Amino acid sequence: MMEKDVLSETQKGVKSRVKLASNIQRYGMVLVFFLMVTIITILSPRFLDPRNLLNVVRQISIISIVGFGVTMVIITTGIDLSSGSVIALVSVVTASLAHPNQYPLIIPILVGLLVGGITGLINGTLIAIGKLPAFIATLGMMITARGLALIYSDGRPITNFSESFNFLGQGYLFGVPFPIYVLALTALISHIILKHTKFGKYVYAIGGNEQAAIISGIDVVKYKILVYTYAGIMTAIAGILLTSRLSAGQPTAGVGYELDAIAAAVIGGTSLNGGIGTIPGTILGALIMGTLNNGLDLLHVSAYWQQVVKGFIIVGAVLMDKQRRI
Amino acid sequence: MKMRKILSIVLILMFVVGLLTGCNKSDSQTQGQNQETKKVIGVLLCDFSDQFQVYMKKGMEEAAKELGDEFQVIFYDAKYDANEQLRQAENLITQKVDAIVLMAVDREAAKPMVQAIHDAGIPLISVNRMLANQELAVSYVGSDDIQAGEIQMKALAEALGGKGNIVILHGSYGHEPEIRRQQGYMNILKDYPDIKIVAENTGDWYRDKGMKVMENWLRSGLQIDAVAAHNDEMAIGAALAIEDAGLLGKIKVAGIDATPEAIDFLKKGKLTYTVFQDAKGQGRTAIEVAAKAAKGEKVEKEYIIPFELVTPDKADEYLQRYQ
Repeated sequence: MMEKDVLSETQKGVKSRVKLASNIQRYGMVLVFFLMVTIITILSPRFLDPRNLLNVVRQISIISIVGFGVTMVIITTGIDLSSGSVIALVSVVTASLAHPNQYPLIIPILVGLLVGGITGLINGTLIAIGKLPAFIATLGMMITARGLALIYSDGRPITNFSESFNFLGQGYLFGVPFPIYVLALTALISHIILKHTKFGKYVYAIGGNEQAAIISGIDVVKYKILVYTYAGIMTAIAGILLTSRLSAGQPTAGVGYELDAIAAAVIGGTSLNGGIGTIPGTILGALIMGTLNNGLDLLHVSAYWQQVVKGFIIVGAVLMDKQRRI
Repeated sequence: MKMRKILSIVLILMFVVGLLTGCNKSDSQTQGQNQETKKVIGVLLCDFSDQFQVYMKKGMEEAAKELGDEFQVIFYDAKYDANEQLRQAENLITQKVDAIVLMAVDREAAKPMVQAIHDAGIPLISVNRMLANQELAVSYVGSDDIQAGEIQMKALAEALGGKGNIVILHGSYGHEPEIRRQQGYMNILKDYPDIKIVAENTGDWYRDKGMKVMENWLRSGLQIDAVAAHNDEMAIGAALAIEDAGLLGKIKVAGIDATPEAIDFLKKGKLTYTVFQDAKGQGRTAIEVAAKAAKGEKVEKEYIIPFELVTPDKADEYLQRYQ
């Protein structure tokens, strides 16, 4: 009798500790975020100016959209290093079709999405059927896509866009920058796909235990290809927005964006070991990085120190990721 | 299963072929150089995708064409990787080329490479960027970035009437032009005590990063009268941020390089000044000097191609130079 009580007490203790740990994991980054916001607001009240908040969200929209696809890829234990270069390729191809009085707006958008989708399809095929490590396959795409962007544009920026194309990245709707609507829509779609569809369930299953997923009859090859294709399409959306925002299709666009997107996902709780990750988490990750950038600029912190602080935050996030697996 | 294996091999092969044809264009160009009679000039550049280097390479190609059949010019792209450039230089030394034109990724890291080229007895011409051990090269062709900073800041300071707040968008910290252009700013600013630098940050030479930093500054409540950017891409980024904030014309923006797009922004009144660096002229002169050196003719120690201030009224004239 006594022994049983003690046992159940210990079990309870373990359980509540596990629960606490999972709560810290789930809400830890939210706390970090609000702590950051509070500190920045005290030091510079201008941070909370609605125009500045919109500015921050617009700044993170491109990385976040890339991050949605990357999140799914990482959940399957994959990685996508090609995002930055694919942005450049999409950027120059889209730009070349977006001149005034050339084609209706839908053409550059569709072709851009197609280019992104194809690069994702190739990544996915190389990984799922060719059995290449995701790192190698997407590294190859990273190099190749950048090269193709340079070839296509002859190394020069492509400019002069139609009004409607300029609107995508520069326009406002009811006082809110248009990219923010795109961000909201892609976030919603990605979240629903991941949490409420068979596709999403399989993505987590593949990342949790690929062998088990195969044995339980999931067509792993098909879903892996689909995940990378989705990531390619998300990257294309980001590329189109960036092109419009910068008023130019640039073969040099998006350098380093793949790492920012991966960082956003990981800071937001996506585990590099696969099986864990959410879309709201990735938005939070991007928000943390964007707020840091913005806050440090508002406070005129030297760029040298900005890098040190950002490095700390990323390491801190992964430390938490490790702790929740012990 | 067998099908899958075959398919995977085919895919991998396609991929490898793609990589080879897509990326190693510069290496494959070396294959044609077996004809012993030709004199070969090896050109090591930092990054073919950089706007400025695209035009510099154009100038080089034009000069190479005019040299005719007697010379062959091979281009190498280091993609801003100092190690890669070292590897390429070693290749050129092994091939015993007749002259090397070098735009060093990193002047310090390039020291041993420059020494090796010198020891191999190959005449070395540095272009655009002076080397740390320049004395080992036969000639330098380029412009002086300090002068670019001085020309730009002098124009801004006068436009501001010698008084006001400026912000500075740096290139990547530690890059040679970043250091020297900033040095040029400082040389001028010491004569204008009423001009204050109220914020500085790096835009890493990129438009998107320059734009982000400028957006944040505009929201920070700073009174900004002018933006001095170390290159045009960041200046354009700042101009886009200023336009978005509805402050066009209230803040002066100046860049350096005079890229065609920047000149276009100048015409539209979104940029105030840019500074022309004669990319094609540098490229052309570098090849001409290299050809002389390869033939054993005497060359000057330095060929300085001067910077020029571009104001909106001279926009068209400079735009024509790119035609």
